[in-house]
Amino acid sequence: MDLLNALTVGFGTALTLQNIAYCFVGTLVGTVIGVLPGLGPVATISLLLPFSFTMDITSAVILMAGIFYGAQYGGSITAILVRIPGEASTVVTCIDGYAMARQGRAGAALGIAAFGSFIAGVLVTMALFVVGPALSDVALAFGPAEYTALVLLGLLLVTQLSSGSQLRALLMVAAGLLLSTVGRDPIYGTERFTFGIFTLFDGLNIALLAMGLFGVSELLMLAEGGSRAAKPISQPSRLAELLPNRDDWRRSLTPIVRGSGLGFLLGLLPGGGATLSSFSSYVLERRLARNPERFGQGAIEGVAGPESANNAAAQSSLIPLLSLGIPANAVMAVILGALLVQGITPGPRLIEQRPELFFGVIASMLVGNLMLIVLNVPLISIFVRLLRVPGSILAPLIIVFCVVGAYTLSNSAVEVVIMIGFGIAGYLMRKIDLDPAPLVLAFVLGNILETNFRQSLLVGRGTLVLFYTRPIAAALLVACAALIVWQLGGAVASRRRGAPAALSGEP
Amino acid sequence: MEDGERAAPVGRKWHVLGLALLAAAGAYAVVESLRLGLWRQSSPGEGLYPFLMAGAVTAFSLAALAALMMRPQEAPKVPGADDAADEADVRGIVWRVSMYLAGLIFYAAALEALGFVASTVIVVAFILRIAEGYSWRTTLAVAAGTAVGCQILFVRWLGALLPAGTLWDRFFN
Repeated sequence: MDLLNALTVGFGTALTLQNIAYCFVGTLVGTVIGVLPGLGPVATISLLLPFSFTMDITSAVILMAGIFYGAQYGGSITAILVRIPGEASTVVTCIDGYAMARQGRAGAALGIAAFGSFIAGVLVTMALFVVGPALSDVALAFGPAEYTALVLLGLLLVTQLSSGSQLRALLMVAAGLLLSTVGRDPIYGTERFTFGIFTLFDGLNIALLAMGLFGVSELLMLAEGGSRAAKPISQPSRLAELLPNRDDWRRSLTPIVRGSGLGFLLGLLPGGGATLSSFSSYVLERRLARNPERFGQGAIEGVAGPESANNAAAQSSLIPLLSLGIPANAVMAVILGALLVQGITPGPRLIEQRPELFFGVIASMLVGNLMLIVLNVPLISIFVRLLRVPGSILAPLIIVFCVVGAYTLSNSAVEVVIMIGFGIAGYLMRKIDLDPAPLVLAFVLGNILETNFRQSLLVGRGTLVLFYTRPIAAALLVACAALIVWQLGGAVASRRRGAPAALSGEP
Repeated sequence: MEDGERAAPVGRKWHVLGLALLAAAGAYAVVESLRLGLWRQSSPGEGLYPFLMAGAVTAFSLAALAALMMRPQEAPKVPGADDAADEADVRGIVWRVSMYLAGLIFYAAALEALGFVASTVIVVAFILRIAEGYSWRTTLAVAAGTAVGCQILFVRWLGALLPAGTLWDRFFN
């Protein structure tokens, strides 16, 4: 199908009154769900699954997709305002977004997150129309060895997130990977490190980890300083003053474009996803910045790039689903369920058999991104007003928020206890300069790494042969080695110059 | 990072203790992984991957510990007039953090027994009154408002299943 026909079919489907309404509901619900930690898009879309059986399937997918990318933006709101990531993909936004909020620039952070997501959405939608069907072939070239190498590279990049000691960042990455093994072995089903606790049989929940290590630990840090003594951070009150200014846009435009490209490519890969995209974008921007020391202190590029990347990846992850039938993440898996129940088998022939479904969903993403801007930009001044509430009043509200989020995961107080445990651990870790961000990100990637690593060993009959005989895997591992050499070289050079060495144990 | 500016710094011994605990946890996980088995009939066993990760945790913890020990120690602090004020600050910090922790632990323990509304009122009131020193009027207004607002948001609008309280069920149902 040529581009003009594709656009006609796509927008003709997306711009019906019914589909516009579903798109609106999806993005609105997604934004709210993204704000609330513990109530993720997977659970919400799963609740909608039975209703989708009686709906037009194109409308159902538009609704579910709207919830998914709406949640990416919603997660950034709490990440910026109170340093609690609503979604795993917004963990990196906590770093500079929250720092900006503490400098009275919450509006600019929220604004650039919204506009960056919108621009990324527009760019990715256009790209999907043009090259989406062809690019799905790239995903076929990735096997377990390639995924293992990709994740290893990603984990090395994660250590760049930490502004402190690289050695301690590596320790946190290893700890995150170890925590991801709690629960049942993915191949044999044997229990590992569960200590007989039933709740741990299915492993640790990322929401508990994130709420504990970020939310509860931040609370305890606030309590230290005497929340009541801390004056609320003053923020501008007029919307015009809240939004990003010309300098913000000058700094953010290139990261937004780069983040969009990176997110688009990584989102095409099953397992790539919004989380890997967001922190890859953060690391890239920090590497390319003229003043990398600004990162961690409120650099707007640290919000613009990752927020664009996670939205781009959320959208491009629909391509492996629709054109190959491979769900890129849990949300896509639920959407796949909805398609199969209605007798639609995603795959290479979907474009020919159901062009209105394929291109209609892509076109609806453009509409949905526009709705996100229309919904959320006027609300920025309201979100920012939350920061005028004294910290001592906000603190107990955050406690309630986190406890409800943890409890509702499986209606069990044990989850709340686990979250509090992580909160205490996160607080103590931060006291001794161990940054929890690399731990959380490594935890998310841990299952992907283990499953693919073991599959690679199985296929290679117990040897590492796949890693050096498959070109993409070999190239990625060479990139890993080059990154390690580069980091070591930088550390040695720093030590010779007399600056604190990056690999030392110094905080 | 900005947190370092706000947080009260801790002495070197706490860094040593923390890293040593992590090394010990890693060593325990190594032993457990060996018990699970590294290999199963020419395919990786369930203990292989945790063994590698636990080994990395242990190795990095020990390396960080070694790097810390190699750093020159800070000169011992000369006792001075500020010591009493510093000690009072530390006691204040420990007290406030303990109160918040006590509130959290009570919340987890009482949530299902007392129910969401009652336990929320108690915890929010405890933190505002005891930990933060607000007046009873402000405390009760915020506590009640929080409980009611969250009940409406989470239970009525979002359909979350929050506990009504087993004690209420026992006495009133």
